[in-house]
Amino acid sequence: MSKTTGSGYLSQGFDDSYVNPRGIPRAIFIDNVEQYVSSKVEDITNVEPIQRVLQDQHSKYAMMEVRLVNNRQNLKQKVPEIEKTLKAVRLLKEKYEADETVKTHYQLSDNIYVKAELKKNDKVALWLGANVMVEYSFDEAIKLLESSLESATNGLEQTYEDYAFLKDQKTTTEVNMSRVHNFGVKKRQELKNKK
Amino acid sequence: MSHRMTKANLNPSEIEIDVTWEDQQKINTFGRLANRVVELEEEIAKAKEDKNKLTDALEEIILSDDVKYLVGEVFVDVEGDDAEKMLEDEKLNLDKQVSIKEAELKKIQDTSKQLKAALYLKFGKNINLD
Repeated sequence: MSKTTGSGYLSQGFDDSYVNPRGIPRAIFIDNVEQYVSSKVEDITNVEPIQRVLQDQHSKYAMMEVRLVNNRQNLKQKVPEIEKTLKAVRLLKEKYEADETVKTHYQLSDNIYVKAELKKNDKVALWLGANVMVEYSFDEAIKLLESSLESATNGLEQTYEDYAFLKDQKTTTEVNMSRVHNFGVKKRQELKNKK
Repeated sequence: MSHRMTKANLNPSEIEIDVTWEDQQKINTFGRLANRVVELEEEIAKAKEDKNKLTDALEEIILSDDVKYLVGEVFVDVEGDDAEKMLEDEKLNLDKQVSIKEAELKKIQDTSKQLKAALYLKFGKNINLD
């Protein structure tokens, strides 16, 4: 049963001292736009070079966001798949221990299901990917599946954390962009009024 | 010292409001929560739909002695009573998930509302949070 992942970060946010373990860089918050602009350009009525840098930063964050959203989607699918397999193995074990025959219909091909009876059997084969299948005892299989479930859940937790942090940086950058833009407009207007 | 902010392209000449780090954090939190709301709503809708399917299934098997129950990717022969119990368990499980998610959603919506009110109070028309 998966718990509500990552919502802690999503709702509580991050301390000022938080450093992202996957190295997502922090976007600076502009404390004073005038000081910031004058430290970057000679002519403070021309903020375009700063805007370009911010825009660039913003698209980098946006790219990371796409990647993270995909990652999260993959993991979100993976978790229930592992849970499903785990459930099947547990059922087999239960039946084995109760000394019962398992009667099933399994999928032979797309629309064909055929009957199968599993007589007393204490092994299960897990598909590991890359054309490899390995036979395990029930307990080994359950242990293996539980550990993959845990790593998928942790991975999901991590993508939530990263996503929450990234989202903050992206929003901060967006606010920076509009503040710098507005500052430029204001300065140009002031210049015009003086003339 | 005066800086201003807008999310959209508003008329900058009317804007003379400082954005402090606290404001920025409020805006960030608002953005994060908005995202979570969408996700939670999707998950809740999905869980409810699954629950309806289970309810339908329960009605269907009421008269059956033998049920083929999907476990993983195979159908396993299960006695009617056992199948009912399995369906009930899954339903309870979903109910639990839904109530956890709904509680979180409610909390988030309350926080969002407060943040929105605070931000609109300070920035008025210069910020667009919808």
